[in-house]
Amino acid sequence: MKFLDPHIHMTSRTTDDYQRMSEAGCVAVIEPAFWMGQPRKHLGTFDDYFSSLVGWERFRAKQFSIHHFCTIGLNPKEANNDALADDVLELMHRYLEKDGVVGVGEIGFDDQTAAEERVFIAQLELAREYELPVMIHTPHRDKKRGTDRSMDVVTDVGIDPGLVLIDHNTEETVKDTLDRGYWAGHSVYPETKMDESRMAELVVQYGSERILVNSAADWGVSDPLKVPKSAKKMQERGISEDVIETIIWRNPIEFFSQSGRLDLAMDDGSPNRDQRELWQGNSVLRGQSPVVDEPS
Amino acid sequence: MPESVTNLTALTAGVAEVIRQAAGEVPSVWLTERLELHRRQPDARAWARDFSRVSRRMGRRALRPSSADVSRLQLLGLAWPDASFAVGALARWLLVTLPAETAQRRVWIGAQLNYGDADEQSVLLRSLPFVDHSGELVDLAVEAGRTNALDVFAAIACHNPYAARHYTEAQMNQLVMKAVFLGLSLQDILGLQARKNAELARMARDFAAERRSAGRSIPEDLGVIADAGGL
Repeated sequence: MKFLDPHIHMTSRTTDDYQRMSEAGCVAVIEPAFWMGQPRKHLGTFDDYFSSLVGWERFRAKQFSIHHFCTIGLNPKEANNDALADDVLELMHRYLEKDGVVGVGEIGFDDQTAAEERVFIAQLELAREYELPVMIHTPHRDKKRGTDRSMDVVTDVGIDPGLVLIDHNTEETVKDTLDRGYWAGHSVYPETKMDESRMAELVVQYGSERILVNSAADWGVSDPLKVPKSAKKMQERGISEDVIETIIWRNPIEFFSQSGRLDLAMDDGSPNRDQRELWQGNSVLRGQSPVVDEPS
Repeated sequence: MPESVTNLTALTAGVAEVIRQAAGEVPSVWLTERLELHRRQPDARAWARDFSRVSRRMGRRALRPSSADVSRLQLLGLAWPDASFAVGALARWLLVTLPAETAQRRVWIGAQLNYGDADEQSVLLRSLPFVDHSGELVDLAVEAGRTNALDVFAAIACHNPYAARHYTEAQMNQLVMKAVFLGLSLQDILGLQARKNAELARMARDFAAERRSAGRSIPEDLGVIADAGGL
């Protein structure tokens, strides 16, 4: 089983996670820019964070044969500090044109304030300027209303729903999301958001068109193997392999390929991994035996 | 290849021709127009944006010049290892060699090193020997070399004469020992013979002793930096 996890915060994960994801069939990940569990106070911390998403994290992933892409954005939780938000919006110009950036995100609403809406709209304009798809985070509190409002904002700005992924859907939001022409992401979590069984039921009900599944794994209680675990639950529920492959592989590729930057060489499979050149004294491989894949 | 032998005009013309051959007419014309625009109207943000997107504008990211063209550019003075030659990297190299004013160049290259991804940083570091003959950007190179991303470090350490020309002894010794730690070949460090020194030989000796104590092997080419005291 090969899969692409379209929403996972690898910066917060260990090399053990990369190892297990690779063994489970993960070929690529999309890492959206997000918050760090508490609000950042300085522009410089955003700068170094964005820099690591296009730099060091890609290098880490590559050592486990995983392609790493990211989205750049100012998340809504940190959008309420007006002065800092303006600086971050300006900084985003420095990163939105990078090869590894396949979208603007995750953006949207948290407290659903006017300040959040202003930053949300500004970033939709940036997505248009840089011709990038958009990943929208939907709020935990007052979710249904926040999701509807997010889609209304996209409509007002005039961006094609086909370029927008509404994430963290639940049974309450997915129908509207799909009916209005958006892509629908589902974050499968150990406790909150969505779980594997509910996800399988959603697929029975709605099929595979514009449906995505992700782990949204981060620094909290979360599981980077939720995509393959969800696929297994779908198999048990009798969902066809073709439908499953569409959801965990073809759909995320189709959506993020709209950036023109998702390197389709990945369709040929993972790059051959050769850790020999890296193993001595390297910070990721500390003395263990290097893994060498035979050239295909 | 010694700096004096490299004819930058011939090299940039050669690079432009290789890009045209590999990428085709349309991307090549786009690049020529952008280069001309940046010459006429220097603008930092527009230049930075082109520097990031030019790799995609040249076609598939993995697009490479033919091995004959790679050899040709190496003969013209582009001392990159074969694996570094991608058409997008060559196009970025043209954009870096463009800023004419030294002061402007320092600001643009410095900013781009700060905001660049690994591929961008690698090209910038490989461009330094062509754009900075006085070593005024040496602090930027040293800072960029503090990464553990192998490609970026190799871009300043290997097949690049800049460090040997401009690094202080302490900076050069750290670069050489980091190359040893990362498993890079010391044969690839250009100008190393002329920069050998007693302190570096001592560091090599201490490193060899540490490896012996740990029951680990000693890199075969460590002898390159040893002195009469051996390892």
